[in-house]
Amino acid sequence: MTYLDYSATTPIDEEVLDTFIKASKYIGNPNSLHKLGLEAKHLIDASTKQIANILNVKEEEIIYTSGASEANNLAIKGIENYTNRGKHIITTQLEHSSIYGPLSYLSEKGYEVEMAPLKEGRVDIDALEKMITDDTVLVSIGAVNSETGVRQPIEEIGKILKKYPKVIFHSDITQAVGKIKVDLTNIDMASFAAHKFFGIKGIGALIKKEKIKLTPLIHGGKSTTIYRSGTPTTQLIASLAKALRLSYENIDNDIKHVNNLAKKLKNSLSSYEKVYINSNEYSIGHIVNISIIGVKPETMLHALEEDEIYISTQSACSTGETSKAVMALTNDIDRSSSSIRVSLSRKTTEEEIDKFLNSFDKCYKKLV
Amino acid sequence: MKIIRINAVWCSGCLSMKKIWKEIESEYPDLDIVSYDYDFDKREVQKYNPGKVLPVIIFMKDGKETRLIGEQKKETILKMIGEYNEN
Repeated sequence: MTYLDYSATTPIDEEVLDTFIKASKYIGNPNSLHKLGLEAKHLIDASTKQIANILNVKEEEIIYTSGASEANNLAIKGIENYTNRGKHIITTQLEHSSIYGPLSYLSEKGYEVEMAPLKEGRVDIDALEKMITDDTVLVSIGAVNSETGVRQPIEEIGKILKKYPKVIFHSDITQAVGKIKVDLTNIDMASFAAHKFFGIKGIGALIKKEKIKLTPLIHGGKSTTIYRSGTPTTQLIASLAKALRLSYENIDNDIKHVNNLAKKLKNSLSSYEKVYINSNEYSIGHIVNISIIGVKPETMLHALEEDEIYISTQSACSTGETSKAVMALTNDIDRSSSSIRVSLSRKTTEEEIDKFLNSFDKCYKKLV
Repeated sequence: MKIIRINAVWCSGCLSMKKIWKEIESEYPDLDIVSYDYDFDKREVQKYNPGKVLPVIIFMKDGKETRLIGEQKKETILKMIGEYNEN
């Protein structure tokens, strides 16, 4: 099997699973005052400290959630706490459905949601700044687009938004964390999930600056934080810390490795007459998006699947016959309706890329 | 004339168009507009066979039907309203 759909999800790393199993033996409720509870609490505290160190944030800024979708919902719906501050929100057309869902919810409650214009798939920062009004309360822009891998200039956007203290800046960093370095200094809130970097499904986090007070999604007693009640999941939190540590311990080498594989992939694929490389110079190496003109993405996906090669078409959480993300990059309807995504990870090998290229060649000759 | 709108909460085009529809509804208060959610109103939506691209906007009058598929500009919708109101 050749798995090249890492941006959809990743298999669990054996070491992460081992941590999960070991931490599951901490049977105490971390909120209990007895020894067993304290042991579990200490493990959570150590894990939180590790996560905070890796992401260069404060421990108090970490809110554990079930994943990025919940973190996005908490960040966006939680903004209702600032109703008196304003009801204007700016986002982009490139976000995950778990951004549009809560934004749709808020729009039914009188919030106005506007899309920032894009240039070559990236937010036009000047235009974004001009969109800010006295009523703007939130800007939500994802760090890396899941389909094309285009990296948004979130650090620069964060710096500009500092001039507008009423505006809260949220970024969905799900496709960035564990793959590239992210500077969260000027980002007020950031969401991610562990399963995108060899962690376990069911755990993620919202990083939130202490000054921001959100309306919780789940009200109740204090858990690890008042913003998300429920018994803390000791083993999931420990596994998140482990997955994050493994992802960042050799990050520079891993980025080089992935970029080399992406380069090989792009060079080989660009030699085909009907193939267009959609990922551009702003894309991270982990995501290579291409179009095969005249071939339905699903047809290519299933043809590759016959050789046990697994890639994807559009984002797993969207539907539609054209890709908005590819359209934003290419302004070409043929390319945006025939795109596939090959997504790599630090564990992808050159042999796997060769296998993919061999199978692709066979499928291309059959289908085009 | 009746206008059927088919939207979904995950659809960015649907979200972008909310402001436009609010304006149109206030400018044309007599318009008969019915809005369905692709996921929550499955039974009603299936009757219109909307396909996969949203939003879908269906203009209906006296058996005549025109569809606009995907995100639209306000002018495009107003033009369709004008055409249907003339007939």
